[in-house]
Amino acid sequence: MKTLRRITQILFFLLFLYLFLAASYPLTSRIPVDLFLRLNPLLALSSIISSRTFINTFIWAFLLVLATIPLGRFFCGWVCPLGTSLDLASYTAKNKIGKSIKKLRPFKYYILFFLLVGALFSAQLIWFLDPIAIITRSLALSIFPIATLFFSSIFSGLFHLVFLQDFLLKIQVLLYSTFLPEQLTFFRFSGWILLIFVGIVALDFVSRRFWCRNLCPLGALYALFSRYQILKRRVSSDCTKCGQCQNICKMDAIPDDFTKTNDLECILCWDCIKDCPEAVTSIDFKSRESAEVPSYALNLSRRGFLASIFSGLLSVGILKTAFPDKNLKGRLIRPPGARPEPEFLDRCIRCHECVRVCSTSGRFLQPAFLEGGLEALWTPIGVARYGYCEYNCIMCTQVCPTEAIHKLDEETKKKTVIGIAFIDRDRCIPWYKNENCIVCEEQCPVPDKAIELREEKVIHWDGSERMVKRPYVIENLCIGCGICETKCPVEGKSAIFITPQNEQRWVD
Amino acid sequence: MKEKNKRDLISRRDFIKGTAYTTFGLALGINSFDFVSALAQENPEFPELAVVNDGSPAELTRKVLDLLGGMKRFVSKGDVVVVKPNIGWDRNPEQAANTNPEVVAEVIKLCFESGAKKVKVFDRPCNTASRCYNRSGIQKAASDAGAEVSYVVDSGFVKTKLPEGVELKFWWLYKPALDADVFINVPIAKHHGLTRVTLGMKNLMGIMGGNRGQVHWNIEGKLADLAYYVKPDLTILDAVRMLVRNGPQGGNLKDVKKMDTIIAGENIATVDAYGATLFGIKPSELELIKTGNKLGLGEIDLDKIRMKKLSLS
Repeated sequence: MKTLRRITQILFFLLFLYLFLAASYPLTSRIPVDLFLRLNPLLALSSIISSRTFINTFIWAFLLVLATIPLGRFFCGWVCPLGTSLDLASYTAKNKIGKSIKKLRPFKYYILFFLLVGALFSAQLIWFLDPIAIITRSLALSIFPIATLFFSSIFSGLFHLVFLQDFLLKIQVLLYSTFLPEQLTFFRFSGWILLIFVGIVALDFVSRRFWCRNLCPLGALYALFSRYQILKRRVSSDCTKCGQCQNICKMDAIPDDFTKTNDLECILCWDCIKDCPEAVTSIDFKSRESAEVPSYALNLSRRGFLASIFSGLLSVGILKTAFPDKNLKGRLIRPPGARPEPEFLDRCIRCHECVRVCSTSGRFLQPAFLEGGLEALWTPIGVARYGYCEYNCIMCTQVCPTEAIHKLDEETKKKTVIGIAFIDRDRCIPWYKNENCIVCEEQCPVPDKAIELREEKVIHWDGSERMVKRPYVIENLCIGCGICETKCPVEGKSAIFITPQNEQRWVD
Repeated sequence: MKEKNKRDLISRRDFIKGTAYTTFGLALGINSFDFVSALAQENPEFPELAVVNDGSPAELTRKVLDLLGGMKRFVSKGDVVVVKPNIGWDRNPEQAANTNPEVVAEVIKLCFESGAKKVKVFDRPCNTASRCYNRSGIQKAASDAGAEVSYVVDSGFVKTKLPEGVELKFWWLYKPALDADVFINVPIAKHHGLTRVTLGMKNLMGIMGGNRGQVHWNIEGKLADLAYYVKPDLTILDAVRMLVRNGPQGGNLKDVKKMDTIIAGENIATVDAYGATLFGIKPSELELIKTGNKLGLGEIDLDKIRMKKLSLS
């Protein structure tokens, strides 16, 4: 069973990676690429509470909760991609099991309460600490770009060898349509995002599954539901009390009375069964006398509980009263199909599926800094100087697990206004230099051209009269896709830029 | 293109041969490969320009090359051919923003029939490459025809000196395009906000790397220099569907005019000159075509051109 568990873990991990890679153009995967997020009851609970609406995509997440009631925290031991990453890291680094700090154990419950209190007051705090959101985000914004950097530099390096060129070009389209992005992508905050992930992995050096034992709010939620589980570890009376099981339990779920189990912590990894020298341990559905609910399972203090609720309230307060900088709001370009800002923030879990999928097309979306205030940190915004919203692309609207970005069809998307372009006449070549340029007009994807060129008679710096084609933005045609800002050939700050003025948000 | 390429090879014999050609050319006071094309120009057997209309895109392509004297004139056995269509935009064939996929496929077939060893197809698009390659239909059509379709690789762009460039002294150009034995330029005829029309010479921008936006500043001189340096062996202008407004990417079907015409010729400026007339523009009105003509890229006075026309209807 231990081997089976390992195989299952690897398979789920591979599925997770596959779905991650499949979240790219042309997005043909039959399985929803955000499957792991959709199956996450914590994300479901939190976004449903904070948005006060039932979000249909999460319907299957409740099946997982139902399965947890008889089966316990099987998800943590068998499925969770973050748990598997930790196991893989610890396996490679030969990390010691490590003892738990008893006081830290209930911390995950406090974190859970803290997050749910936030949700109750319409502040989505879940994104920072949900394991699936963390691993998806880290993969999309840090690990994958780093991996592709090395792949691409090897590819580009080999390309200089003339005799290899033909072979490389042959496999190139295949590579680029599977895991190599056409262009390297660079993300804001990729370092910070990686740091959090590396931190979680590094904690495994303190003790195995440190994150899962002490911090993971999803694990805590599953623990609360596994109180009446039937599938349990049981030890027969032949136990010689050698203590081997306690030494190898990576969740530290076996108390000093080795015949007992802290079922709320047990992730059913089968290690103790496999390595029991007397073969007296088993995990099964049978009820035996030693199977009473242990009293030490959920060891919460009233003080800790109150503290978590209080800090939840405080965080909500800080997030919601942070200074709203109106200048920065001028750069708050939301993806097409985004719901109105408060509703969007209630739902967005910062999994960055949309950012990931966008990076394979127009490279428009990036995590926000303070453009939408502190509360909107790391939510997806369009950074048009870097990339643009592809006219025919609807992928970001297809992958949002919380429907913070509503699904749009191609025709609706093409008409959805996310902003409008403004020309900085002090930087625009035809305006300040009286010379032709027109790149913005050429790139404008709106069939009737939201940028119009008007031929005007100007006096050149040398005193001569000449005709110059000057760009004008046609306000009722511009959809704010931002390709003009991306492609503006002026060095540095673009001479044409988009702001969210005129934006249309999705309203049900 | 062929002669220049031979000089690029490292073998001593080729080196000496190349040096000899160049010396010979210099002695005559003209560049060696100009000399060759000058010979072809004066060969009365073949027309300088062939125009075919009213037929399916594949038929038109085949016929236009027949009129020109057959693909064998350009492609010899064992050649590596680059076919450079316009795959610039995430638009479908009906919207006429990219070269017609059937035309591209037929050109590839003709190359293989003339004994080409390899046909490569690529372009540096403005939108995401995979989107453009897919939606334009060229990825499928070209690979079905046997060509190697690839996206441009960043490291393939090599900073290249254009020794005779006036406006463009150097630029990052795509090495696989320069290295080919035969370079066939397959543009589509479109309206363009800056150059009024985009035809053969503008299509060569697809092998340029770097910040192409800046090429738009004084675009005529730069593109003519580029065309002079690259000097495609053959230009086949697709005017099956012509984008007459809101170019170069269009989007409205009402801006597309069905012309069912294909124009081909060896001199890029000549082909472009004829292309301009399809839009009702006199070639002499267009700065780019005039500059091309000045650099010796072909006659643009259509009355002075040996032209063969054919209608398939």
